[in-house]
Amino acid sequence: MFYLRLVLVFAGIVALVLIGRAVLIPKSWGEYGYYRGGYIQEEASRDLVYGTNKSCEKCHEEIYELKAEGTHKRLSCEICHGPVTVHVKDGKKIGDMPVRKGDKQIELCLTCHAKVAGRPEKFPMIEHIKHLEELDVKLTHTCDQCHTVHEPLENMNIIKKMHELRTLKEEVSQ
Amino acid sequence: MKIDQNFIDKDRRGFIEKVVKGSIAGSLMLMIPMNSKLFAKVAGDDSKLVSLIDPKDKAKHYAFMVDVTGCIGCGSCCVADRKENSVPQGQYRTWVERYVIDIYNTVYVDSPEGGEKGYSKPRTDIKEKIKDAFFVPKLCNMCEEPSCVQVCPVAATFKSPDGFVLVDNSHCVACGYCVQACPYGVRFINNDTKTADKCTWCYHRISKGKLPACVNACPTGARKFGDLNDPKSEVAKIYNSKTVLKVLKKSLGNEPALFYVGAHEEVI
Repeated sequence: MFYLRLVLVFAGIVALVLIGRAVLIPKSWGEYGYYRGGYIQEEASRDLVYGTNKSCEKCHEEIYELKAEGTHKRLSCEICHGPVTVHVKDGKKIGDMPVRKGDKQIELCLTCHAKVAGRPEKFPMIEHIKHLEELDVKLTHTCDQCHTVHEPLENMNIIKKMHELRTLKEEVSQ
Repeated sequence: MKIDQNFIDKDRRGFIEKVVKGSIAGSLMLMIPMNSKLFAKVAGDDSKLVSLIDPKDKAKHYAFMVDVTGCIGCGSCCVADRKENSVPQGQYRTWVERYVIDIYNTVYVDSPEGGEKGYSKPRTDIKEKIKDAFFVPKLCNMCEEPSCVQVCPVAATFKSPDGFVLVDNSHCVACGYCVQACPYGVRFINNDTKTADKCTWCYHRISKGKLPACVNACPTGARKFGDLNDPKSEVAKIYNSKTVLKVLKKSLGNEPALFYVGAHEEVI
């Protein structure tokens, strides 16, 4: 009788522990190791905020192509314009993208192109005011008055080509 | 008085008996195994993952490379990271440090606002002539032997079989041991979730075949990410070339998967 009671108590404790384990230990615990394996899936399925440049191509093909062939080809559209998910959802426009103008634009361009010790020497850098003075333009000029923002050298390349054509024409006529 | 003594003796015997029985019962319970699939070969599909990543795929060896010579300190990576992972203001999953070395070899390091606003102004407080200056982006090193995982008392942080150190924030008790243990200082207690947080190399993006947000944002390609076992990937090409690769605090034996190209000894 005494032993039966002991066995019952023991069985009760085992049952309690088993129930406790079943309730407290997450299902995917130990799936890959001593942690909750299901978290990997949870983390992996988190929604994206930023897309890639390909996300912009469908609607803004012209700018995409201009940029893709120019000096800003490595630049992500979303650096300047912000994440795509605030702009498009399920193929529909849900909000405006910030386009920076005036002083904000100058500030944005200088984030990368200001001459600061530490930046690689090959990288195109300017001292803002000095650059404007050198080129003899108004000090209030914004960057996009000369540079196409999506391909900064577009206008410069056209001018270069025109110069070449003119010299070629002069040579031929001589 | 005598009766009392007997009673105590008898009770002591009973007590010892109970203790012995209890401890035997307790130790028997330890023999009930954890349900670990690592020890039991389970056939069947574990391909519940919608992702391209298979956590059990050890054929892939992801690595991150930072080219110090290419970083222009624009802070785009930090901006992208904050938005992608909704990191609270004032806390950083990744940041960019500026190193300035003068002609007397004094090293000045600063990182105002984690470099997020971009280093568009030079340092004005250094009087000596500057010999060298460079920017060093910092992020999770994804150690092969992560100190943070070792110290976590509740197994909330772990290394996934494909090599990513992640934090299960539903398990984290925010004791902060991992924050102290990480030799690279990449961990913090997130002010919003009140749990430990860290850079995941954008696991959710990689698993959908996209690059990490910071790599995607980097205008100069100073941040690179890829699979070392894929000979076509940029990181594998650099890894297999004669380029000198360095890891931070190598002597600690954490074996990071984050490599630095062109890093000076001041950084290491």
